[in-house]
Amino acid sequence: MSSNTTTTNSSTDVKRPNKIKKYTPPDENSASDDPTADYMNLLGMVFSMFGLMMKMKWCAWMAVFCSFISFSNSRVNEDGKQMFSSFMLSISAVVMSYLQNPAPMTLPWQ
Amino acid sequence: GAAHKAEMEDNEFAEFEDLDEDEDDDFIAVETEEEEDDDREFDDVMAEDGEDVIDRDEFGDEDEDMLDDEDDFDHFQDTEEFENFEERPAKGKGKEAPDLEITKVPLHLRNSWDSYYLELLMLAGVAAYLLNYMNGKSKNQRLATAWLNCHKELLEANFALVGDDGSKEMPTSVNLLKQSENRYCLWCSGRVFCEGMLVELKFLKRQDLLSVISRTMHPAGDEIKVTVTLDADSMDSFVLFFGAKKITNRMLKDMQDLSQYCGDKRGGDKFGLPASTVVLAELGEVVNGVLDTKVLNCLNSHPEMFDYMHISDQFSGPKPAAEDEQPTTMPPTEKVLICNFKVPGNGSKSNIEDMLPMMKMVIYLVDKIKRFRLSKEGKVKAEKIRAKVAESYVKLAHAQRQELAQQRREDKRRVEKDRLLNEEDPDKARRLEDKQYKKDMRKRMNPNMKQIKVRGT
Repeated sequence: MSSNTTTTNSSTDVKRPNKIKKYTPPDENSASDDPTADYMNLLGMVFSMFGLMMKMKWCAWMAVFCSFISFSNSRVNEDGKQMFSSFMLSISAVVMSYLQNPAPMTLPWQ
Repeated sequence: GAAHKAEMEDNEFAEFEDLDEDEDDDFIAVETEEEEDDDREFDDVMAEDGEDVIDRDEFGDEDEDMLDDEDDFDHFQDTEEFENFEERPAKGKGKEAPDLEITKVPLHLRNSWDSYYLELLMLAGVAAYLLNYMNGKSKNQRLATAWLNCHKELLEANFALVGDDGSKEMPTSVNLLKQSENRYCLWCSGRVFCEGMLVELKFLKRQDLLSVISRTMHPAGDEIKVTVTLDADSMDSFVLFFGAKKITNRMLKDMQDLSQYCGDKRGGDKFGLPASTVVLAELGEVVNGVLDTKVLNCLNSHPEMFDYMHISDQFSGPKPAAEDEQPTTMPPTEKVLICNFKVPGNGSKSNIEDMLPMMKMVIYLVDKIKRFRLSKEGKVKAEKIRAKVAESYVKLAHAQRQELAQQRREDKRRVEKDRLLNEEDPDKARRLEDKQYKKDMRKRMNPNMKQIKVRGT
């Protein structure tokens, strides 16, 4: 498979500048092929709610991890507001649960 | 003598008082609050006994034996004498102090930070995640640029426009479109026989620690998916798919055109493909026609790089999900050549640069498909199958329309019946009933007679 690039002689030039079609980003498949970012975001919200309401510290810490994971899986064109809000919620859950009682955290099965 | 006797009675009563006192003590002892004053009363009682004892001595011997009884009696109450005497708490010399439970003083960060080891663990986890994020992100970035540098020259030779991000003006330099930390894509257009080619670099999620860990369980590799949209006239009407067994079965289930046009599965080795591949083809002649020696050499020399190839003129994407109702019109189809390649190795720069021959093969295939023409009977067979599929859609639409009409008729009849039922005055009801009855009779007599309204000329 030698690289038989055909640019040398113009007669068999395959390029057609007049036939250029602009790139139309397919919007629907971006949501379907990688749902982890959205699931992690939702999970993070639930964990921080539990961390705040039921004063479970390990939930708050899980919320922090979930928002980190959804941050690293997020698509570039996604707006940053959702990321920002999930981070704020989880970090506030951790801080609040330590302000209320500064005792060290216990594992769920302890 | 009398006074003496009275004195004695007092003494007896004193004993009783003792007893009463004792019972009271038991009784009171149960309640925790009055414990102290209970002791005090008990001490007073003890003191009085003491004085009685002295008085009696002065009265002389006969009281002695009385005293002895007293002593004997006290003797039994002596705590040191008997070991397990304390069960009767009221009798014990001093009550054992109420057990003070030490109130738990909460640990505080300042004075006992080492007990916060779980928090340190969590912070270490966050730090590890960030480190891995930075490392994975830069690794994916390096891989993408390595792929681009290696393929740029070939793409620019074949396409007028390489690397478009959909913005209005023409791109000045060739750069990848970053969709996410592990997904890049490149759009090339402006070539004979095809509208455009989309290359999607689907790297592993090296930036996400969670997927790094989950990949230790079930390993996966980077993927490159090339989708070429062919011109309307540059492809004959056939559908062909070949790839590894697992992916072929999944695609057969998912893809609309495969399930409609490709019935039977054939072994890949018959056509010179690597042994593990399976071929789905509408017509047998297509496989030999398209996969000529050049393509076969390339595929057999890098079998680990190849995942699947899907060439179809009726491509309309995956099947609609089962739950929403089947579309009654033919979905928009396009002629497409899709190739999915796997990057072997652990994703080093050299691995990704070895993918160049695969890209050359794709471009060669575009020209090959243009040159490939079905035989006469192949063409007839293909057209027949397509007509059948189109007809199935029409039938589906017709069935749905009929169902709707049936629904409407039933509703109308129900309304008619309701009106009949709740009609007040009897004679109007009877007239309606007669009309309905006559209508039914006529319908039953000659069901195939249509009522035709003839307009006066």
